[in-house]
Amino acid sequence: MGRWEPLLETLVRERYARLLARAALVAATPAEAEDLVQDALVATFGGRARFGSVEQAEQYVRRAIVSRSIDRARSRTSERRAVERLAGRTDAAAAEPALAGVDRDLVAALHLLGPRERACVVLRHLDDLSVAQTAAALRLSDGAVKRYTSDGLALLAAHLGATADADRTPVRLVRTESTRDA
Amino acid sequence: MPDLGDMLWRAERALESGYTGRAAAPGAVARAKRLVRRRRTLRHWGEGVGAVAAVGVVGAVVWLGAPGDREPPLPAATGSTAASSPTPTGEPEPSADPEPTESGAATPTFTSTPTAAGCSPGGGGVPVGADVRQVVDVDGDGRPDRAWLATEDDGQRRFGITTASGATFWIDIESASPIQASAVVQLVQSDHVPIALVDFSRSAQVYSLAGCAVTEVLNAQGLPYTFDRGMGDQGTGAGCTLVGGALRLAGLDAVRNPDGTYDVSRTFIDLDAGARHATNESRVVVARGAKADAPVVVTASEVSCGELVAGRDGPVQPMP
Repeated sequence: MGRWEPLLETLVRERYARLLARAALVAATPAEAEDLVQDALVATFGGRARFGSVEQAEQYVRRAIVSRSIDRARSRTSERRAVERLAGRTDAAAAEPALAGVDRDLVAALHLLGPRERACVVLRHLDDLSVAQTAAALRLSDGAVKRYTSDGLALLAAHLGATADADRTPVRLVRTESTRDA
Repeated sequence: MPDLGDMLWRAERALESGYTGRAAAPGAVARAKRLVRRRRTLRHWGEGVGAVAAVGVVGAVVWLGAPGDREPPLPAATGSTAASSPTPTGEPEPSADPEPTESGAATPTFTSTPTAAGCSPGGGGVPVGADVRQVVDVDGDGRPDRAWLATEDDGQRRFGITTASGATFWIDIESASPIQASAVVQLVQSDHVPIALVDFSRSAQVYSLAGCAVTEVLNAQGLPYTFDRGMGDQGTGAGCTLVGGALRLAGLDAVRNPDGTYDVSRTFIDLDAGARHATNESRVVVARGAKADAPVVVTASEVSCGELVAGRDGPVQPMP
């Protein structure tokens, strides 16, 4: 058994909910979230990167989930069509948790964005990546990242009234939950 | 005003909290590990072949560049030199040359040998725990055969046929989808070629069952022929339409209109001899403004062939 195997097992056992949550933010449908996690696990552990800890592996997989979300969605149009097609289908196993208030509205608004817009917004504003880092992660140009981020923010703002500066310089922190909660 | 980063972070934590206790689908981890192993093996193999090729190129350049007493070069060692030998009659053996799949992974198969009285016996029979259903006569001996879907101990999914003559042949299914697979087996086209449609919920794949083997049908690009099941913009289902007394394989696409009705289009798919390659015909609209529960819409949202529907009239992957 390779050293990566127990790491993968531990990651799925201990962090599956967290990975699914990330996937649910960028997936076109709740049902796609599970597929995204699965794809990202295979892409991450099947690649060249090596991890020393579950935390490190989790970061890679979370990033892979976002980049894979773009790969899976060929275009915004096709994705929207897919959402419409799947609207009438039930998939209890893949159902998204019931959210309330702002969380529900935000996730619903995210689902209205195109996959690239969603991915750019999440990487720039949730992971605090720079434009260059986001471009590298998503294999897009810097200009495309700026445009998708700006478009995404505008749509989100229209739906939520949230404000965020598309040209802000993200503060890069080694984030922990305690610092966020503070 | 709330910061978007904070809002996203809190929404993600809310989702995480909602997902707490949710485990990966049964077999999903084992399937992921198997795909990772395969990907790593292929990468190492590719790197090895690349290194050998590089050495060979350098050697050839050196040899070509050296004047005078040249001698014929020794045969270069490569990563794949073995030629497959003919299969002994009645003794099935694993395929020697697995085809690459769309994801780049090799797909192990197990074949039997066709004879006048059906496929020759052997192959181990139906795996323990497999879901088995009686299906049409696959090997042409006039007796119905059995199709099965199994989940191996390591999570690997396997689809196979066990004939009335006692032959068993199968293929490992490579799909990252955590959803249960289901299958339907049917004879199509005027030459009654046996095929299987395996439904992965998000996609479906067609396999040829001709020649006592389960073989991936390839598209024009040489990749496994896959039906979109609504996740992309190509289609929502697969089916078989009766034309001139024979079933013809078709890709189906039900597109929802703003008024809630559906337009359904169909693309017939021609299979070559042995059903190894598939070619699309033109896309044709077969229904406009159909209600969601109209048979044409329902069929376009399923994987079926004639009257047989995957998940109902064929094996369903057992959960480990």
